[in-house]
Amino acid sequence: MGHFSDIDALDLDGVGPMTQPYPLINIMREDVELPCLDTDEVLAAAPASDERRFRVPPIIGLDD
Amino acid sequence: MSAIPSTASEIAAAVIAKRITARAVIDDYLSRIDARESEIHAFNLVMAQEARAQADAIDADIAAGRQVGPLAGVPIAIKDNMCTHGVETTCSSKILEGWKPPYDATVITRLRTAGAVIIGKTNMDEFAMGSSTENSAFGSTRNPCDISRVPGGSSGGSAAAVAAGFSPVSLGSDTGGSIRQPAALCGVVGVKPTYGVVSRYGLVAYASSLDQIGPFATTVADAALLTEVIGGHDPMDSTSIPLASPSLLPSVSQGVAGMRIGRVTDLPAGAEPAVEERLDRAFAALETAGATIVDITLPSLSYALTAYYLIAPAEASSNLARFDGVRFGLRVNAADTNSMYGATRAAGFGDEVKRRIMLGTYALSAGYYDAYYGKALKVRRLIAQDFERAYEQVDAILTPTSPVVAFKFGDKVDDPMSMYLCDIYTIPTNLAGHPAMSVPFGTGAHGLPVGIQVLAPALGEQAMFRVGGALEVAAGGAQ
Repeated sequence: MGHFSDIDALDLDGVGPMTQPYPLINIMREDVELPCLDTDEVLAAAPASDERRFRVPPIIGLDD
Repeated sequence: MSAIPSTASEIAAAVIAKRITARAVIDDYLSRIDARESEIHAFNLVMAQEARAQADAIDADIAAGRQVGPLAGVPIAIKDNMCTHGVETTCSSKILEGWKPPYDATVITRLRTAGAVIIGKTNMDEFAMGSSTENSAFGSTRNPCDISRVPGGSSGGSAAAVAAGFSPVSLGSDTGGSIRQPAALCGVVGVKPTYGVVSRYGLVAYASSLDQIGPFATTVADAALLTEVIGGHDPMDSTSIPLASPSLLPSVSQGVAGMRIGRVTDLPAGAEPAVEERLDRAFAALETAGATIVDITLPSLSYALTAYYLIAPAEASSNLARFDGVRFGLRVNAADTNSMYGATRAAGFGDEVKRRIMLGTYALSAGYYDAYYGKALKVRRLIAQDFERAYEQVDAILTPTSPVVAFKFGDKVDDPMSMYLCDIYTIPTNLAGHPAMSVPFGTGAHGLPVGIQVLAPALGEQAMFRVGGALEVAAGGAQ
């Protein structure tokens, strides 16, 4: 992190942050119905699935 | 049948005119891969069977008199961070090994529509983090110009594929120079378009406000053609600029008479003498061709590296959170979900990816956000303002692409700051979101290629390609 101290010398008062290079706001697609991804194909790429859902280990620790 | 031409535009013209078949083109390129890939390792996956089938389909279309696209029969290699439906897409990471995306990236759809034939997925630094392709989980790619040296990175496989003649064109992605720097080190043309000109839909994200897809080619005209094909608005990417793809091919041969080219007088030092000498020659060549050279300053440029290495890891730490062992790729089983996340990421991510995730989460953490990430965003604004002022005086700017020619394996991989400095001249453009390209311009130390970088303002691709075309002619390349 020490390498990043060079910018401490800059006077940044009054400079606005730049989060994106080409500001576009409220971008939405046309409300058109399109085919969605194939559920079986998506689940087949997951490490584990069960009954059309992603299967994960218990969310709450077994000690609780 | 004629001999196989060397450029994409010539291949497509010959295929469309039935002088050669798309199948003959693919077979020729696959035989080149067979002959030298074990030495270069440009690819994570060579798609021989799919490529032959795709080529046969194009030949069938042509035989039946159906319309084909401007890249009919052109083999293309794709960086392994762009989603290809049903074809393994790994980002050169163990955490995604074996994952087959359920959809195509927009660039892939556009290439297929244009008739291009995808020949394989290329090696890269893991999740596009690196400048040498040494960070791949599947082994380094070697530079075809000298196999004891790196090809650059992170799109090293795509640059090497074109330099080795494995495909006439390829796609890479550029977050801080990952197309331009390997293009320079391998002696090919590499283009990073304006942020938002090429859709990022289906590009596995590294740093979303900086990433941009672009082409590698052996000629400036082919790079222009590829940019035309993949560019243009895409409703699937909310950062896509709502404009049609720019017309670029006419600009390549337009010349630079009357153009004003900027020479940065306060460019951060550190370029090898031979690289600086090539830059001087590039300015001289453009002046001879009718351009005016104008001295400019970009005082905030020296802070670009710091801003980049705070912003990009911050965005990466958020983007890479999706790799958690649930929906795709690797899972290391554990007793509960939290332990599974940790074990999966510990096993699946390489050292450089872990370094940047930790750096990013630190820069974003409560108490440090304003001191690091917030400040970096303001520096980014200063850099963009510097460019805005400069482009009031000039149409394009010339710098070296890389301060050094291709270096030996292991020279920089254990010293992150030394590696990061490889991108000192390419990073500022990504922060500003402007277009830039690297054009081969002779050789430097050890007879290795030197690339000259052409920068232009946002949506200034036509000016950039005018300068790129003129540099190519001056370097003795295509006309």
